[in-house]
Amino acid sequence: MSVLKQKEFAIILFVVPLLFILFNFYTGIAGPQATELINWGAYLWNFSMIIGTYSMFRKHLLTITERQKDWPYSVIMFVSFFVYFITGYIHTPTFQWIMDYVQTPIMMTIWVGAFTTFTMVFRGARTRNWLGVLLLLSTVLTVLRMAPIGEAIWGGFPIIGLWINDVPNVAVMRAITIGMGIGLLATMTREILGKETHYLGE
Amino acid sequence: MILEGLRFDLIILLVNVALIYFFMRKAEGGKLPYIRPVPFIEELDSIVGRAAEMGRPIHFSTGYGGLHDEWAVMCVAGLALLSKVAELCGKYRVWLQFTCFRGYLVPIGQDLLKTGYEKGGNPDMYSPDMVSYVGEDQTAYVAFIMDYFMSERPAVAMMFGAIQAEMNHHLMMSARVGAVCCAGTPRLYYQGKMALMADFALLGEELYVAGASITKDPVHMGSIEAEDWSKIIVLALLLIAAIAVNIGMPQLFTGLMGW
Repeated sequence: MSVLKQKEFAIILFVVPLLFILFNFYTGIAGPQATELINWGAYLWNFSMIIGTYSMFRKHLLTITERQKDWPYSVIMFVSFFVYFITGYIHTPTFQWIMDYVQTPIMMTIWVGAFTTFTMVFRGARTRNWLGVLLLLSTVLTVLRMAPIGEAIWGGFPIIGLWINDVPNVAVMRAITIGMGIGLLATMTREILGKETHYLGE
Repeated sequence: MILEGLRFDLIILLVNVALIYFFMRKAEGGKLPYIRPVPFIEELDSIVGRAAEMGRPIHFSTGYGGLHDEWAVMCVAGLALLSKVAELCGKYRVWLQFTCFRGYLVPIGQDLLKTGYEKGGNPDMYSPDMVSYVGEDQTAYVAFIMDYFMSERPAVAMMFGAIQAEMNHHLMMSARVGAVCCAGTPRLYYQGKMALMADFALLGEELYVAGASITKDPVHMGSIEAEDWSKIIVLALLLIAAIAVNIGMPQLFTGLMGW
């Protein structure tokens, strides 16, 4: 059995830091130590980068050596990785150029939030029941509130849109927040008592 | 000893913890509460069965949140569901691909999947390659998932945990490849999207409830009964606050909150 799956290990891993952080939150005692404990997350993160790099190299090397589907992309990955890595150390302007004119546009392409949301709704929005219709209707009214064309069509759109945002929307969000907080507390209590072991595969 | 402004907060915390403990013990004693069936849990068997019939994989993700941040509890709930899905995949011989955002989730994910396939009766199916990790950059994570969806065309797309902006891409790609989309996160901003787009959505705290419904574990079920009582306490506090404000004595409540 892996050490990660041992219940005692899991309890030490979760419960001790959790209790310590709770103690610090309510009493303010041992602040630096609690901060240090939280910082350990960052140290873990650094180690995980090593695992990630190994995993990436292994996968792409296998893809190239076995001539798997789309293997030229793996070659591009290695070239990009080494060019980026080396220029970062030896020639900062080139590094910055790559950052500004290659990486940023690629990232922006993936993160065009509004367009992604639009295509998502266009492809998959379903009005399976009256609640779905209600949701879509609210969405359209909210869009008409935000877009200048809404007010140009009818002066009532901004008022209705604002009401949807301030009344039903806020009420539902608060209810969900309360439910979420209580659920979080229950899961935390189970963890503290060592009863939550499903994430260990038990 | 206790900081000012946090005393009432601590009392509420302790009352809730005591309630949860009491109902957990009650359930362990054999008095299980009734839990409303969650559609996703009711259909989970047939969802995995669909993937088996189509001969296509299932993709699972726990999203941006990990075990070291404020979303740890959501991630734990997602991992609990992963262990059950892995068991069903083992039973029906379906490939389960788990893409994790945090490096330390790799060994945990591999452990969960290995155990799941063993429990399902097909340990030979398990492969360490079922867990993918592409670094801790959200753009890379999203790009990998989009590529996976286009190349492997999974029959089912599941995302349970602390999902963030990657949910947009998940939902979009699920719709594009015709995958059954199952999503669940208690995070506020994604409730509407899930309700509109996902075939099975676990809204709000349903993610936490789902774990209990799957396992019928007395500990989980007892804590859910306690959650209902906690909600009654919160509603009572809200009512008292509303009355206090409306009779012109808001200081009654604000004083208590600031104690």
